[in-house]
Amino acid sequence: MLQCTINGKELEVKPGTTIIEAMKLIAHEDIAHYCWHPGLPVAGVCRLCVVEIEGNPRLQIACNTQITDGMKITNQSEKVKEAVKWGLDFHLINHPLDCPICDQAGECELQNQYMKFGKYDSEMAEPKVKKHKVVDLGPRVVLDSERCILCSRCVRFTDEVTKTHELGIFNRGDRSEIGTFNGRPLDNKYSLNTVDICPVGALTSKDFRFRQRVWFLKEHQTICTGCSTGCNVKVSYNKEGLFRVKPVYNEQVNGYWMCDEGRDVYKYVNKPARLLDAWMTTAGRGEWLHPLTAAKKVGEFLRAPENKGKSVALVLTGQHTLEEYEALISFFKNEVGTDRIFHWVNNPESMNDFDGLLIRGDKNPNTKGLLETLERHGIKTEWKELIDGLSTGAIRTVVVAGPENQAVYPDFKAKVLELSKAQKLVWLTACKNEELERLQGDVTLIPLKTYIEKDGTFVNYAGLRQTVKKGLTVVANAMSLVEVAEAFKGVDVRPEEAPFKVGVGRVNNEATLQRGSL
Amino acid sequence: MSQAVETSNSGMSGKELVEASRSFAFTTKLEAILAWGRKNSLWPMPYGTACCGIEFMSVMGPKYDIARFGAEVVRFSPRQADLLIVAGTITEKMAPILLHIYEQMLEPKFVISMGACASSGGFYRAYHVLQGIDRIIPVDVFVPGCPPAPEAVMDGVMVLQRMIAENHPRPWVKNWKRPAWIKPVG
Amino acid sequence: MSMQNLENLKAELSSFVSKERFDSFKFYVTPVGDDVLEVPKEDIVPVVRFLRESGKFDFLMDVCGADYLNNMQGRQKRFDVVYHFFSSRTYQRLRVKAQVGENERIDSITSVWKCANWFERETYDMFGIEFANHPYLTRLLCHHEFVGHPLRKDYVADQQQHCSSALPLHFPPDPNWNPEGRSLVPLNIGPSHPATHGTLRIMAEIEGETIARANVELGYLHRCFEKMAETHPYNQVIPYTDRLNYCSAPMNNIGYCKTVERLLGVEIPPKAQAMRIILAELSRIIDHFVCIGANAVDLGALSTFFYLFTYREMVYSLFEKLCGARLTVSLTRVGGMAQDAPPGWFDEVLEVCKKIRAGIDDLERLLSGNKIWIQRTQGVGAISAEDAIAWGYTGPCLRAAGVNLDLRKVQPYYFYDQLDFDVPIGSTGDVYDRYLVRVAEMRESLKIIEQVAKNVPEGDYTVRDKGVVLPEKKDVYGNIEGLMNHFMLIIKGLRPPVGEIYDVTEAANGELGFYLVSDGSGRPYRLHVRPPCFAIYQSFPEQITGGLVADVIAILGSMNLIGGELDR
Repeated sequence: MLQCTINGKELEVKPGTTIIEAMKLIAHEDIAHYCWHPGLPVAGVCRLCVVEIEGNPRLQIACNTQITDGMKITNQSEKVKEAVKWGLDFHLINHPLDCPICDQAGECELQNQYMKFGKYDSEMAEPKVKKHKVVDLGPRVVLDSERCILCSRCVRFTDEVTKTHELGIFNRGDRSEIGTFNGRPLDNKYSLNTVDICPVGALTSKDFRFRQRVWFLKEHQTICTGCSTGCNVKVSYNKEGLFRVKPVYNEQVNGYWMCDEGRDVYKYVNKPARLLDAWMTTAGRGEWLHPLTAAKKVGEFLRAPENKGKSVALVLTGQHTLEEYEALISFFKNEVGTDRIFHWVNNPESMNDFDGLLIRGDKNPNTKGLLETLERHGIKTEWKELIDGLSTGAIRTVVVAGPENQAVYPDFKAKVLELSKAQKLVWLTACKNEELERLQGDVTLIPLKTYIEKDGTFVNYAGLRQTVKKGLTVVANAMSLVEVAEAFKGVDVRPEEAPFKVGVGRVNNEATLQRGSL
Repeated sequence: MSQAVETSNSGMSGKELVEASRSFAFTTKLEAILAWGRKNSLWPMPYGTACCGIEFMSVMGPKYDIARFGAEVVRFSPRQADLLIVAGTITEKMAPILLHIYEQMLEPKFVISMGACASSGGFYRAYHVLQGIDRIIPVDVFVPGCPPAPEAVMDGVMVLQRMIAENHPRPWVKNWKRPAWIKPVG
Repeated sequence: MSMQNLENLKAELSSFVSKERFDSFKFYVTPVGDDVLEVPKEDIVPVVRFLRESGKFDFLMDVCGADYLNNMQGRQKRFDVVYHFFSSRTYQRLRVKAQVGENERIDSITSVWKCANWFERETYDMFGIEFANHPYLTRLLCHHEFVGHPLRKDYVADQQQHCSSALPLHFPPDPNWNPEGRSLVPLNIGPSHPATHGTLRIMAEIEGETIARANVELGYLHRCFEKMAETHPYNQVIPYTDRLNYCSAPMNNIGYCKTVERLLGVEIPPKAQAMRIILAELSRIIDHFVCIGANAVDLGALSTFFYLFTYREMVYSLFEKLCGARLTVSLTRVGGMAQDAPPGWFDEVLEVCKKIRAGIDDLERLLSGNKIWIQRTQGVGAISAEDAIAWGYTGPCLRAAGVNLDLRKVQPYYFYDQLDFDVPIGSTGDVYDRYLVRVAEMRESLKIIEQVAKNVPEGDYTVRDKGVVLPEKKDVYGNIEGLMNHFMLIIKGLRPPVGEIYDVTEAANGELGFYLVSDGSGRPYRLHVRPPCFAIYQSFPEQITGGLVADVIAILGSMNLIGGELDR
């Protein structure tokens, strides 16, 4: 371990630590920087992270200087402040006046670091260099070259993390621009991470562009439910719904990144995609009911002596939490008395795929959790049994805890047709679906809560348990499977709502509530 | 599903209002003369609560002089006035009293909502401020401003005078339902 | 200087209370220079009694509460009850704080200072803090059907609650009240009444022409200023302050901005100070115009009202040239003024001053020697100096009672101490004296304006601190640094350091105080206004009891009650 002093504070660091790592990750000091990122290799191109080291006449960059024993480092001296100020000034020489139309306003490093380290009057009088704006880099990313400060984070990302080498820096001097090569757009499956790491508004997501200003958004940390990796993410939302998903650093699971498919997991949570009320068809006529009423009616049916027993089947997908599985499976095993509990596998061929970085073939966040719970209750079944049971009439009632992310279930339509052969079909789902609404016969649909509206535990492919907490309520009266199981038992449940309800209240400027200096 | 806002409007759509307004005309000369008399002698009752009240004092003052429009006699009793000018914020505490005053006025009566606070609660989206007097009484003219310049208030009075002269239909008065939450004064 | 006062207080208190109690007291000086004493809630009455009886402090300026629900580090209990004291002999101030938990009660200090009555009622209304032994602890500002306590942090600002009716006549319980054998007629004046300036309600029982007992009801203009302040960034609170005392809007702006600037540690440039002084004095003049004009109208003298409004219009034109608005001007920003004065503005100010001087002469010719006026106002509503101080009077009403207390002389701010002006003092404190004091004050204000407008310092109209003040438009549209600066200030707001402050200005009605608690974010955590006319109005029921009904109107008019300030 080496000793060093940073801004007067004494520290012990491991050999090989660079100054900026010590400052940012260990001492939590503020230092201006653009091109350094803890998940990427060092470039040293922005020249802003300069520090003064005792004994060294010139300022050194902190990102590429390793700490030696007894080093005394400061970034508060006048020399450093002057150098940082001029570094910022030069970065801004050709920067366009785009703040009003730039998505990054509110989370822009130029804005933040100007207020922290700059605050100077501009002396630039020359006309600015014009470059390409709104360059379509790929299916998900748009480039604005004028805003780019050429920190090369995106280039290093495509070189070192995805290893697809789509981006490069073209031209020289103040005409340099980021670009792609002919015929090779930026279309790898991790392209939106470049938008996250871009400190300015040069790279923007086509999905999020111009949809909402970031200071009107609150963030809630949760787990991505796109596949069994279970990347840690944070979802940005306000009273109008959810807007985007960004990764959160987790050393074990996903590092600093997440994949592009997971970016779409907020879409099925918003109101337009959701089932808002319970639908029940009785005697050929359908009506919309309060979910609790519908659940209690189904519960009565299931517990009635002529209906319980082995003629009831439960179909589960790997999309719900451990607690929900426990509650529902216990209910069906004990109260209804059936062990015909089936696991709906949506893609058996690609279940164990892995692309080397983060994306896995099993598109359910909690398959392992489901299998664990089934094993614990001693349930072993095959899908064939369900099909046979339906055709012979041994199985008359099917309750399906349907997938909430219907996009990754290509066999959804087929399964709906298969399962509709039951005499009574109860489908518990968060999202609405045309196939389900077209079903005839005795069909009950009950709206569920999505992963962001309930507390729960997901088990990822490696067996790691990760807990999510309730963040917001999008559909009032939707229930989690735990609450559904209680309602089936006849208990009067009040579906718990999170303090934040989408659709209620005003859009608020969240940035003024944060504490600390500008 | 949007939240329905309680107003005392008729709830008619824009199209319906335009249709209704086509059928206005004075059938007799007598009515036209009465309308002329009414519009030129609107006796205001200034229900001034806040800053708009001070601005209304300026409107009554010598420089802007609303007296030239016939609104010379400012009556503080609702029984003697026919134009209620609500100038200022109406709080929830004041709402029953405003309704009481409105009900004490004799027909024909007109209401001008002066200022942003009276029209919609202004920038006080708060727990004690009524979000617009049209939630409790039917309003003929809304004068925006915070406070409205005296010229704007006079323009509002002139608009009202035009409405009276043209016998403009007032479906918001015709279909006004007394707000259910305010108890009638026993 | 403050440390010395605190040391003296510490020494005296240590000999007054027992050792274990004294050890739980905390004495400190805040970074901005306020003396603070924190006591446990059980000791509040003895300490407050000591402060009064030892003669250390004679004014209880303010009592308010604060809710620290989401901010509990270093605290044990949720609420703070904050008392502000002032001494008219030594001009010192002291803040005393006591922590109160939810569902806990704190003793009321009305037995020591009678003016704490309404302040404690308001704290109960806003926070739900119960004061034990309070003579009449009911809601003051919110309506009687209101459920909940709005200034608590878990009360959503726009959660409206309707009221279905007005309360019938009611009076605080009085053990000495005996209506046996008296023919009492209940009289309700207001809230919709020409003489009650719109929103005051006076309930009385009269015997013949004399008032047997009286009570007032407030809150008809309670527009939730303090809750709005908590939900808006600092600069966006300025339009709300305009509407406090709307007759002299710039003074509220100045009071508020001065408070935030002191907490930020920003000193505004001399030109901005000069402009603020001129605007404050102009506002004082027009406020006195409205007060005297309305008072005269209520007593039947209509011409004065029209005369005075002409001069008020002249001042409105001055404001309009400065910022575009006449009445609710929002002329200041934190850090200085909103914009510079247009060329020639100061000369116009001098012109208008000449005209106003002629106008005040006219006014005196109309009223000062007028037999009817003298008969209606002399001897009416007289109050002694001790009583006035006990009630917390400040401003012209206090000076009319003979107390020489003007914050511009006693705790000068900006460069009032370099200006030559007198402070008019009355003798009896009756309505006529208040009128004379106001007229004389207007003349003194004209003197001040002329001194300043003739020697306006050169310089910038605002501080150029990039963390506080927006950059000029040429920079916002001209270069990226100005644009980013503008964006950051608007998105995140200016951030004073964590702390609290109570700052005062001499407004037209008296001491206008702002108690501001900052948690380091872009919005005030707690902003409390100490309205001057609140304390004055508290004495009103006592003043009119035993007097004639006609005198009620005269006294009411002389107190210059502005609904926006009274009810906030």
